[in-house]
Amino acid sequence: MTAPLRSFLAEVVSAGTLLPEPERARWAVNGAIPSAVLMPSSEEEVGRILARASQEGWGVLPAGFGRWLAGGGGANVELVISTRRLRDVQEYEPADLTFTAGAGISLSSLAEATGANGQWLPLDPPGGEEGSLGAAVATGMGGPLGQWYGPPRDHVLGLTMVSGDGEVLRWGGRVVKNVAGFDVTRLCIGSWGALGVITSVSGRLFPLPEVDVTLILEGHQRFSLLPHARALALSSLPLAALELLDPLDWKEGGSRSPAGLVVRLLGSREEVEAMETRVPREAGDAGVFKRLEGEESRAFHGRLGRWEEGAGLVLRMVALPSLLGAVLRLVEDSQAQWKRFPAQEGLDVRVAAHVGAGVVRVAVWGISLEGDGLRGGWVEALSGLREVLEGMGGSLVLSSGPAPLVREVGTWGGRRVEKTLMQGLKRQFDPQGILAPGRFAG
Amino acid sequence: MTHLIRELQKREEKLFHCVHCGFCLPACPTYTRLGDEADSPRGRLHFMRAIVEGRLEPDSPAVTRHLDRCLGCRACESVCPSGVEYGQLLEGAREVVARAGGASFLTRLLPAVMGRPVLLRPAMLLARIVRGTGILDRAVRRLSGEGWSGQVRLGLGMMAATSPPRLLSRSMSPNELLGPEEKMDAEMPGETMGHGTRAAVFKGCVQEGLLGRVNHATARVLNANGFKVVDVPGQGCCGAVHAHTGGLKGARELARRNIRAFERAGAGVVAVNAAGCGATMKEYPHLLGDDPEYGTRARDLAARVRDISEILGTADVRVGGRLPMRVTYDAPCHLLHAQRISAQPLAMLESVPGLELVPLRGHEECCGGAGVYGITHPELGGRIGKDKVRAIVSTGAQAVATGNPGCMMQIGAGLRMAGVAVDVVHPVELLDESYRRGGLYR
Amino acid sequence: MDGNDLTEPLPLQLLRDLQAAVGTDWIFSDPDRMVVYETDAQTAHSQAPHAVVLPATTEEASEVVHALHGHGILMIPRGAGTGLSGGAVALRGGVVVGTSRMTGILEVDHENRRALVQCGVLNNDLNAAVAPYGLHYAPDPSSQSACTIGGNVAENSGGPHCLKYGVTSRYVTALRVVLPDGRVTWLGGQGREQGAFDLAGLFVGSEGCFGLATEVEVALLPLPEAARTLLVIFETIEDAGRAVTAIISRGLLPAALEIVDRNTIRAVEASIFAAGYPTDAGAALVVEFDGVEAGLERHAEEAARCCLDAGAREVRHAESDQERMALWKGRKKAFGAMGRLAPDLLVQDATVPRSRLPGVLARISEIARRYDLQVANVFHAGDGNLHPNLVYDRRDPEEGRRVEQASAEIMKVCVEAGGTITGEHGVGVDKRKYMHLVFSPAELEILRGVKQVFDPMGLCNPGKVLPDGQEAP
Repeated sequence: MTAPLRSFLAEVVSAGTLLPEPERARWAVNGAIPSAVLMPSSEEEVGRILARASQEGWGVLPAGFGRWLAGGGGANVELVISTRRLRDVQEYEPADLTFTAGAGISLSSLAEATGANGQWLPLDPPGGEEGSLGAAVATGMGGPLGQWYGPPRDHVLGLTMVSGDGEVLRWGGRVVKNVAGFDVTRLCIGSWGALGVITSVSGRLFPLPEVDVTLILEGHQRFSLLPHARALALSSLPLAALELLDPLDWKEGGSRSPAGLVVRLLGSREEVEAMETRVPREAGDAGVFKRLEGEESRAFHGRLGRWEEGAGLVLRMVALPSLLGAVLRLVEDSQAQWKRFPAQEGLDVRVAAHVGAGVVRVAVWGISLEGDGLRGGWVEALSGLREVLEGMGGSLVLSSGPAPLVREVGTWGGRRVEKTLMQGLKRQFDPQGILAPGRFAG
Repeated sequence: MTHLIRELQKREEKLFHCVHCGFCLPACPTYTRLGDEADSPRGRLHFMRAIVEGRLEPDSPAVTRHLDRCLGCRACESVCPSGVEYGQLLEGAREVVARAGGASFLTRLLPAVMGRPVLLRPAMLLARIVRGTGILDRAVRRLSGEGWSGQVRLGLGMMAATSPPRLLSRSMSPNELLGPEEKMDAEMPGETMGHGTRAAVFKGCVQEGLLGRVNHATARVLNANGFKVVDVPGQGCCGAVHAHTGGLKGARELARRNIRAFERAGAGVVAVNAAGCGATMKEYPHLLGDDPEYGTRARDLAARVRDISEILGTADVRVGGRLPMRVTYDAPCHLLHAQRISAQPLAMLESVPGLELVPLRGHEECCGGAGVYGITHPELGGRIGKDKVRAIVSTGAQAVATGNPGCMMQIGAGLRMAGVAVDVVHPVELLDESYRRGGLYR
Repeated sequence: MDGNDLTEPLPLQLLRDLQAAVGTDWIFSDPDRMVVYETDAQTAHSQAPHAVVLPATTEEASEVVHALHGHGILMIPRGAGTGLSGGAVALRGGVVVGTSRMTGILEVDHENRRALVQCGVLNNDLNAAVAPYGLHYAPDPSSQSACTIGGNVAENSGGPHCLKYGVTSRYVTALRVVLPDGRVTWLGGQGREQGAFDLAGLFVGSEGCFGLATEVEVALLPLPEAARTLLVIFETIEDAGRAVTAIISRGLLPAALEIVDRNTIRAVEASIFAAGYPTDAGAALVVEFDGVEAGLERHAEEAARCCLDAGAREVRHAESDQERMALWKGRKKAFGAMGRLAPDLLVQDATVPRSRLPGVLARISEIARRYDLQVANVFHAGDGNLHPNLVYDRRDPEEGRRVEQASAEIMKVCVEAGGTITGEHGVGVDKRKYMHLVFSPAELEILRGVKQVFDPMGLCNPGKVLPDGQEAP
C-alpha cells in the first residue's frame, strides 16, 4: 500500500468501510490482490473515493459480492469498491409495481421484500439469487427466465451511478416509460463497471404467478432432446423458461440423468394447466414429462441458478437460436478434445442452454493447467472454439477460469465493435480512465 | 391575388381540422410512390394553409404541380381521424389555382367538352365509330409506351376499354353505334323490393356516351326488382370533372340543370351507376350551399341519390341464374372513400349464384384513372395503373368489376396494354347477365 | 454551431454531390415546396429546411450524409413526420434526409423470431409481413398505421400494449447506422451483452441526434392466441384511476389499460371512428388481457369486478374481433379526432408513478381551470403515461401563452410526483426547456458529451433534446 493511499484511507473513508486485511485475499482480480477493498456506506462516500482515485490515477474495480472480478482487463487495480453495504430498499410502492434499492442488495433479500406483496423481479442471472442486484445489472446477463421476461435490460427503469471522477448521476427513473434524454441507463447495463459504480437501481416488478410448475423430459443425450426443445421454442406458448441440460441433476449431489429438457410454466392456474397439457404435444410427442410444482419447482430452479458453482472454467456462448444444434456439436467435439489432454480425462463438463435465447453455457470441473503443454493446449482450444463461433456470427465469453488462461485467451474475444465510439463514451464517464482498467474500451 | 384566395379562406375552419398527424400519408397513392410529403394529403393541406396565411402565392409552380398531381381519390378521408373534408378543400384550392392561371390546357379542355351536349354528343359518336372498327385495339398493341405516343396509347386504350365484355352475352346489348337514346325499359315480372317506386337512372356523360350498356343494364335490373324506371329528359353531366379541375362555376350550372331535370321527373330514387357522379351529386348541397334559390333543392335531390349498389346490395335483391365466373372487385375511390360504400357492391356480387368472388389486394387504392390522370401524369399514373393490373392478374380472375366509368376505362386500358385478357365490367352488368340467364327477362 | 444560414442557398457543389448520391429525382430544394416540411405532427415549432433528400439505401444515405458533413451542412432525419415533439423539424435549416423510400423488408427469419427492415418501413407493414408466421412486432404506438420503424427507434416509441410487452428498446436487437460523418456501422447484434457497451440500446431513443439508423433488426413475438377486451364506463375520471390501481393491486397483468376522458370521448365520437363510447360518461377505461385462452375469462371477470367496486357505471365486453378492433380504433385515433375540438392542439406527454395518477389528474384539471383552458386526457394508465392535451387557437396569442404556462406547470407537477417530462413522444424541440427539471447540470453535461462522441461537429439534428440556452423560455 502506497503512502498516499494510506493517508487517503485515513482521511476520506469512514469506519467500517475498509475491509479487514485477512479477507482481502478473496478479492483478487485475475490473480492480483488489490491494495484495499472498500465498502462505502453511501453514494457520497463512493463519490469521495472515486474523486480522489481519479486525481491519483488509482485503478478501481467496482464490485458487489466479488463474484465477477474476472470480467476482462482488471490490470493495475488498486482499489475494489464493493456496494455490499448499499443494500436498502429505498422506495417500494406495490401499487406502482416498481422499486428502488441499493445496488448491494442480494436478489434473495429483494425477493423477500417484494414477495410480501405478491410481487417479484423475474431475474435469475448466473450465480443465483445470492448475487447482488447491482452485479446483475452491471453484467447484464440473463438467465433461464429471460425466455419470457427478458434479460436485465428489460427490467431496469433507472439507476444511480457514481462516475469515474466522483459525480453522483441519476439516469432514468422509477416510471415504466421514460424517454427524457438519451438512454444512459441502457448504456450502463452490461458495462461491467467500466462507466461508473452503480449504487442503486430502480426496476419493474411483476405479480407473483399463482402457479409455478416445471416439466422435465429426460433424455439419453442432449441431441435427442434438441428437436423437442426447438419445437417448443417455436410454439406460441408463453413459456417462462426453456432449458436444455446435459447432464441433469435432480438433487444436490443426488441422482443424475444424462440429459434433460426443462420447461417452466408460470401464471394463473387455468393458464398453466392448459399449457401443461399442450407442452408434450407441442414438443412433438417426446414422451412423459416429470412434473414439479410449487416449492419443488422453485427449489429446482434455485439449484439451477447455482449450476456453475465451483467450476474451474465457465464459458458463455451465444449464437442464433436456430444454430443451437451446431453449437452443441461444437461443444461435444471440444469436450472430446479436452478429455484427450494429458491428465484431463477426469474432467466433468456440464452444458446448460437457454434454448430460446441461443445461449449455451459450459462449465468445467477439474481443469488443470499444470502439466506438459497443458496451458498452451487450453489456450489454443478455447481460442479456436471462439474463432469458430465468431465465424458463425456468434461469440464466446470466458466468464471465469484460471487467471493465466483468462489473461491469454481474453474474456470477451474479438467481436468487431465501434472502438472509437466506445472509447469516446468511456471518457465522458471516466475521464481519467480509472474504472475497470483494460476492460472493453479502457 | 388576395381576392382569389377568399374561396379558400371561407374554408379556413375546415383546414384547421387537420392536426397534422400524418395518418393520411400511407393511404395516399402519390405519397407512397413518390415519398415526397408535398405529394401527400397533409402536404397539400399545408400548401392550402400557407396560401390562406399569405405565405405562398396560389400560382406558385410548387403548389400547382402538387395539387395537380393529386388523384382526388380521397383515400385520405377514410383514414383521417379528424374528418378533414379533403375532397371539398381540394376543389376549392384547385379553383384558386385555376383562376390564378395555373391549370394546364388539358384540364381546361375536358370540362369544356363534357359540359356541352353540342360538343359531347358528336365526340362520343365519333369515339363509338372508331371503337367499332377495332382499330383501337390494334393501335394499343402497336404503339410504343414511351413519351407522347404512350399517352396517345393510353387514351386509345381507354376508349377501347369501353367495348362490351367478351364473357357476357351480347344478344340484349343495344347497338353500340346508336347508343344513348336507346329505349331502356323492359317489361319485368314480379313484385319485389321496389314496390313500384319511381326510379330515375342518372345517365352521365361518358357513361351514356361510351358505356350506354351499363345504363341499360341498370334500368333492367331495377325493373326486375320492382322499380318503375322513368325517363329523365334534360339531365346531363354531373359536373364532377369541372369541380375537380377548379371549375366550380361550371359545376354549379350543371348541378342546377340536373336539379331541375330530376325535380320534373318526380322520381323517389335517383340511381347512379357512376361512383364519381354519385359522389358529386351527393355533394350538390355543399356546391350550392350559398345559392339561395337552389340550396334546399340541392339537398332534396342529394337525399334521393343512391349508388346502384346501395339499392341492390341488400338481402332483398332478386336472385338470378348461375353465372359461373371468377370475378374480383376493385373499389372506385368515389364509392369507397367519398361515399363510404364498401360492403354493398360485394353483397351485390355475392348474390349472383355461381359467381366466385376473389379478393383483390389493394382494392381500396386508386387505379390511377382519376379522370384523365394517366394522360396528364403519364409516368405516375402509369405506375399506379400497372400496380393495379399486377394485383388483378395475380387473382386469376376472368373479370374485374368496378362501378365507375373512369375506373373501367383506366383498368381496361391497363389490361389491354399489358396484353391481359381480363374483362372489365360494372357489377350491375353481372347481376343483369345472371338475371338474363335465369330467365327473369322475357 | 448555430445552424446553417437560412437565407443562404446550399453550395452548388453540395447539390451536385447529393444528386450524384440519389439521382436528380430525389432531391428537392424549391423553397415553396419546402413549406410542407416545416413541421411534423407537433405544429408549434416550424422552420423549412434548405432541401429534402430521399435516399433509397444505406449506401445512398451514407453518401448523402458524407457530403453534408463535408460541407458543414446540418442533417435532419425524418421518417413519416408523425412525431409529437418537433424532432423532425429543421429548426436551424439544413437538409432533411427522409426515409420514405427505404421501405424494404429485408429479411423475416421466423426460426429466430427476428426481422431486418429498412428504417422507412411502417410499423403496420412490418406486422403485416410477419403475421403469416404467427409473429408480431410488439410495440404499437397509436400512430402505427403511419409511423416508421426508424421513427420508432428514434423516439423509443411505446404504445398501449407496452404495459405488458415493453417499449421499442426491448425489441431492437441491432442497428445499421450512418454516423454523422457518413460512416456506416453496425451497433448491437447477436450476443450484444458480451464485451461491449450496449450502443444499440443507447442509440434507441436518441431522436436522430447520433445519426441515421437505416436498417433495424427487431425481435418478434408469437401472436397472442387469444384476447379479452373490456370497455368500462365511469362517471368520473378519478373512479377510473382507482379502478386501475385496484386491478394492478390484485395481481392482474393486463396487456393494456387505457383511459380516455370526457372531452376525448366527445371528440372521438364526433369523428368517423366513433366507437360507441357514451358521450355523457366521465371516462372510459379499456382493459385488455391476452395470452393463451385459458384463464383470460377469469382475469377479465376479476378486472370487471375491480371496476364495478370502484364505481363503474357499465362494463362492456367486446364479443368479436371486429368489436375489439373498433373499440381500439377509437382509442388509437383519439389524437387526430381532437382536431374537432379546436384549431390547434398541444399534445402533452408525461409519466408519473401509477399510484399518483388520481392526485396528478386532479392537479391537472385544476391547472387547466385556472388558465381557462380545455384539456382532453388520453392515457396509458397502466404505465402512468399521461397525455393531457390542451386545445387552443394559435391565432389568439394570449391563449397560446396560457397554454405554454399551463404546460410548464403540468410538467412540474408530474416531476414532483416522481415522474418525468416525456414518456414516449420524446424531448425534441418542445421539451428541452423542461430538461433541467429532471437532470442536474452535471448530468446534462454528460448527455452533451455523449452527443459529441457521435457527432463531434454538431451537424446531426441540432437543437433537439439538449437545452443549449437557445430554447424558448
